[in-house]
Amino acid sequence: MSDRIVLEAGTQHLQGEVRLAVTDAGTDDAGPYAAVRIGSFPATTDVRLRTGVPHQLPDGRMLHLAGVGPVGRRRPSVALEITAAP
Amino acid sequence: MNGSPGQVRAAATILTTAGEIGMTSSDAIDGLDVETWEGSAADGFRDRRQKLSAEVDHHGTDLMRAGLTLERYAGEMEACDTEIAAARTAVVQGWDAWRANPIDVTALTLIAKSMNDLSVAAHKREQFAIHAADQLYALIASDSTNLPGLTWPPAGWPPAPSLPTVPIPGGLDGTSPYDPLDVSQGSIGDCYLLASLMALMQTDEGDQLLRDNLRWDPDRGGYWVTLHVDGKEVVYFVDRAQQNGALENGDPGIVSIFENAVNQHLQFNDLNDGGWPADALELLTGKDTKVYEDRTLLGWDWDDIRDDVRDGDQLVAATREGKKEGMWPVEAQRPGPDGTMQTVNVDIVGSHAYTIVSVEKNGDVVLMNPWGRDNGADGGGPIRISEDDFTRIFHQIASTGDGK
Repeated sequence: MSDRIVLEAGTQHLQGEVRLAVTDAGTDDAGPYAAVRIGSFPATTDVRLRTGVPHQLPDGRMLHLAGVGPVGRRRPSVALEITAAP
Repeated sequence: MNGSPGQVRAAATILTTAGEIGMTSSDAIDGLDVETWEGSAADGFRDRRQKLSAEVDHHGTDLMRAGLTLERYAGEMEACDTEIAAARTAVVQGWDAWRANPIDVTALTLIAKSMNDLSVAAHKREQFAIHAADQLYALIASDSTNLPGLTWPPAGWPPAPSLPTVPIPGGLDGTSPYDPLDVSQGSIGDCYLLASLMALMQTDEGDQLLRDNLRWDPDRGGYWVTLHVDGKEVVYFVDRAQQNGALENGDPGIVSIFENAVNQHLQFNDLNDGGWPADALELLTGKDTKVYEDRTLLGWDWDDIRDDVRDGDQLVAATREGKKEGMWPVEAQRPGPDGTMQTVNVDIVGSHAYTIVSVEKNGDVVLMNPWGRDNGADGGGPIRISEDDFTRIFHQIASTGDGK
């Protein structure tokens, strides 16, 4: 069972008890990325999320980057998937 | 077309004419008289007729909207071109005067002001182009999920416009004051709208304006919401809030209602893809909006901005693209638990909109982030930053005032 959310860069989402904010997204030399801020101020963690490299959230669940897109929009958005703790 | 108002207008005429034909054709299809025809074939025909009529009407409406978008864009381009031409003439006059008299301070002032006017007009023209493109994109993307390059999110994911909605409580048009501190933006990229709503919620007049533009309909269980489009009132019916949209104290509220109405007006892709506070303020208030910009060495018109704040006008500021993972780290001040001002390190979100709460005598600016309470950038509530930081981070202020 997984949760799928699409976030515009510059927006936030409360996923259960975990607050996620996408602060930047795009493609660099290493491929697609999403800069995600996890948590509430001031107890936050910044992650540069990559496809295929999940990040463990404070509650144990895993945060995955499914994609960045689309091309041609004013600002990027990201598709995030949250799966159960491994 | 390549930026020619005449050619854009010609394209607009083609689209609106095609739209009119589509809408007339839909009426004609509706008018096909088959009332005396009965049986399963007749039922099938009526069903198909209804669907075809709706489809043709829908496409006609989209063509009409696209035409009107281009028509408006052509007018905006013409207005900007007039400003650009006037600024260029003034620059030439300034140079001529300066060459004739190198110590002519008035000539130098005229050159500087005209260069600024030129830059502002060119930037405005660029913004109008982006806005028009967004609206056209929204028209296309809302219907064409299979177009290559426009398909988003990934295959199999629910498209954002089809996200489920949640109920809105009734009676929010009552008398209890609205509090901007209650607002928190959700997953929708409409900070420009929420920061504008929060700016209105800061004052009694703004509160009243929002209330005046809302009417609870107990029979239908929803709200009639008035927006202002090109000087005309446009009314939308809202009985649901976007899931993952804006909330107040964790529940759908007044901002959710306006968010839904603007969603109906702009369509989701345009609502969600960012926008300009000036457009949002005009949509909400029906008033012309003054835009202050700091694009040249001349700096901000602080005296005019302070006058607007003092007059109780609503001001919303837009940030430049963030330098560090989309953010601008900055030292700010905010009230601590004991009420005294404390210095904290926060982040200002890049490419984002903030409500201006006040501009202090020493130039400090007090802001509020529509992300709201407990957000990851600043924790929510008013934060105070220096004039230097404001100038470094922000590039535009939209105001309902006139700078006087």
